Amino acid sequence: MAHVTGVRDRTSRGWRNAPASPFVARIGWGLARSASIVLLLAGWEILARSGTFTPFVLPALTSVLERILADAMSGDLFLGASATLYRALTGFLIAAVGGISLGMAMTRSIGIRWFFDPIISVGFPMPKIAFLPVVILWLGLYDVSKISMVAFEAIFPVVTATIVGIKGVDREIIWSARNMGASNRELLCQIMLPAAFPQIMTGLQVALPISLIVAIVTEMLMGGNGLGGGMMSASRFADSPGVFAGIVEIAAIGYCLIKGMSMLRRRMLLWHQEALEPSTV
Amino acid sequence: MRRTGLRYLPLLLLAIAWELLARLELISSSALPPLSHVVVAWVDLMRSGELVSNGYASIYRAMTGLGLSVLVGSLLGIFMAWWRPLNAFLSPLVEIFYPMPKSALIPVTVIWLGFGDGSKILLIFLGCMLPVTIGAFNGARSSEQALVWSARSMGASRLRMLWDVVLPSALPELLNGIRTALALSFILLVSSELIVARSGFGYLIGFLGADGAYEPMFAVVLTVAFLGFAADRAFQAFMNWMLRWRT
Amino acid sequence: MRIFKTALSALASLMLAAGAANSAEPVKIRVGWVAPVTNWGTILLEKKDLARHLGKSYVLESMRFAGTPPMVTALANHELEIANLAYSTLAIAIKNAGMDDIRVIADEFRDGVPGWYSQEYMVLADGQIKKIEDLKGKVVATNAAGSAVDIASRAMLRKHGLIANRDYTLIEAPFPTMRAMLAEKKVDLIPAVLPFALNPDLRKIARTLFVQRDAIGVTDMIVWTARKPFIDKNRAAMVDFMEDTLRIVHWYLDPKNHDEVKVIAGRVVKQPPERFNWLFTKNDTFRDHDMRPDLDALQKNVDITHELGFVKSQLDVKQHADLSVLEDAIKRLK
Repeated sequence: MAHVTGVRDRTSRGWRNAPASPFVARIGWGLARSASIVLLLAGWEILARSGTFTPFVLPALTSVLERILADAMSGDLFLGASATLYRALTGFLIAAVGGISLGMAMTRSIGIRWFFDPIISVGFPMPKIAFLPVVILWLGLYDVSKISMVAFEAIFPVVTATIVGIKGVDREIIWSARNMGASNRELLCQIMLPAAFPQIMTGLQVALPISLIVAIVTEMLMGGNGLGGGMMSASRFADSPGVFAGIVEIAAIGYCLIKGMSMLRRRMLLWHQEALEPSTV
Repeated sequence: MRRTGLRYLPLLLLAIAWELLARLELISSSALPPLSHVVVAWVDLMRSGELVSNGYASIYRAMTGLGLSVLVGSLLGIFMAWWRPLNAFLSPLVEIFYPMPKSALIPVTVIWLGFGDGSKILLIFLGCMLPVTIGAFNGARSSEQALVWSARSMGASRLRMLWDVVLPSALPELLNGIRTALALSFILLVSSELIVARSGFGYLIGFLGADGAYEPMFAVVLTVAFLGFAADRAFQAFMNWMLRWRT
Repeated sequence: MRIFKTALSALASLMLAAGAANSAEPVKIRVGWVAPVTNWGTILLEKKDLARHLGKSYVLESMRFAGTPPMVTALANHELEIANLAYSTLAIAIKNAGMDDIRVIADEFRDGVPGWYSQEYMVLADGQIKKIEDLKGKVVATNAAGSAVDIASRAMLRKHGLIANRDYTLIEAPFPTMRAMLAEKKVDLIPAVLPFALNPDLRKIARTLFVQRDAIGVTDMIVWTARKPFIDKNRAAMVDFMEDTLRIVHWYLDPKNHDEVKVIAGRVVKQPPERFNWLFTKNDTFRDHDMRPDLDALQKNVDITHELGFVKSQLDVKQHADLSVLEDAIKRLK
């Protein structure tokens, strides 16, 4: 640990003009980071107030925030967000575990690779939402079918990233490990997985937003509350503040999820060279 | 020939499973018609020329959106890893718009771009950009410090290093990001055309599905899947060619 | 180089020519539709030969919408000239979206006119639901909350003291899957709309519990709407367009052409023509020969929409109807 931080300090000094105080620097970066969002929101409010658009086309940011606040007070926001998050994250976990195992199995066994490789290539770009009626009939209209749709869509990037990661492991490392008498199992758990981990994390980083998107889209198509269901009924009743409140809520939740994921990445990849650079995305 | 046949045998098995599932009424045939009927519907759609004309419109949108996202996304990713202020400014925007269902963004995009090609291309662009950006960013960031240091000690300029060291080492992850984006572009294409459109695969899927004409609808779905498959295979070949120095 | 220059000047002159043509450009009229065949917007262009003014005073584009919400958005953004709105959406677009300048300009179809089809609400033939009261605590399927189909079922159940999501669960499902949902006992009541209501497999397992006529009387289901500034600005082109439309509608509604109509409908949705035996006959919902809306029925329908709480305030339909374009077009055809 000490070693790693030591290296990081050295690089940051060597690479950039080290700021006078880390505290000031942190605030500075925080400001820079929020600048684009502040600009976006200010632009929205100004545009909405300028009268170019009717409140139906573009409601003022303030009225949208009021709606969010009202939803938060009444508890609707919490209920909707937790229903959506439950569906998205359960599906994502299934996709993560299933995707990594399938990806590993595919690099290890020719038979499994033979079976799944063409299916993955055909299935990934397939608009799976077209199978929604089939899923509804099999799994009903409630959570199970929504979670299955999420897992079904999110598993593909995880599988492909796992395969690319494991395939990309330096052969010399594998050979030297073999020479030192590592068993297949040891090779997989101690060499392959850690070496492929950055790639796998990239796959998970792509899969997580997909999970959220699919959860919301299925809610929009099948109803059943959640943020997507709420947005759908707001748009049916031409309730623009409700629609835009949904957009803002989804954006905020998605942002937190993506941020959390990249923090997790930084945590888990402390040993990896990429952690030396200041982690961002 | 025989080897390719063997290679794609799993798809044939899957097709047989589908046919049986529908024929044995394990799933109501009103939701999943037998594959053979779908094939017949496909031939009809091809013959009437509708699949081709709608496909043309769709592929134009998908390729424009994907092309833009590859261009912008890879530049953004690499420069974000390279120059922190840019990252600080832009990454929140990317992160906010990416996890948004594209259909939810319709009320926003229609203000600027209307319901024409522009809004669909924008949605595909937004949806495809993040995998490319993440790939480029993570790839560039993980370029080996030893290489960067040694290049620097040999007096390479920052720009030179970007080209000679960072870009090649970012390439595997970047290409994988583009591969993900390629697959996503097909899904996004359909979902953006499903909502409002006058042409395209998504348009066909939407109105055929709404009318319960599932045979031709699944014919279109499978066409999209196979175009995506062909594009993916072609891209994989390109990837292997680009990365041939690695092995 | 010379070739390049020639090509460039050719291109320039071409663009100039296009610009000149632009100055006398016909008015672009975009017609929205949701359901293929039953919405006129989908089949007007299949009879282009009857559209005498098409390409001269106006050009027509028909645009598919996945539902009414994007259609209202399009109307608000001037991305659509003619929207075919259900009575409930009409009220929502005027009251909730605040588009006070929306005018009803013509009719599409009406439900429950005596002697014609009325939307059916079906239960399993051998199931436990014998009367509406039996639906207490059961699952009722609808296509979308606030749609015309949904309002009739809510109104009917309310008459019998059942309130949605208090006394029964309301879930949403796509129309094509309704039969399977009922067959597999996932839901207890389904709305059966045309053409799905005629599916013999459905008729075998299900019976009609009530029809829309029992629930809310004659319903002006779908009307054509446009925004007043557009009508005022392009009145001449609109009259031309309505004249062509009426000519095409007359052709479609003429029993003589029924066989040809079935072929066209089949071609549009890639189905065998036999599937459209019902189309534009007495088995279909009522379509006015001259596309005149029934404003009294429409007023009642809009009032029910308000009573069920879908719109904020009451709407006076007569103030939001402008049939002058339609009447001018009808006169021309006399």
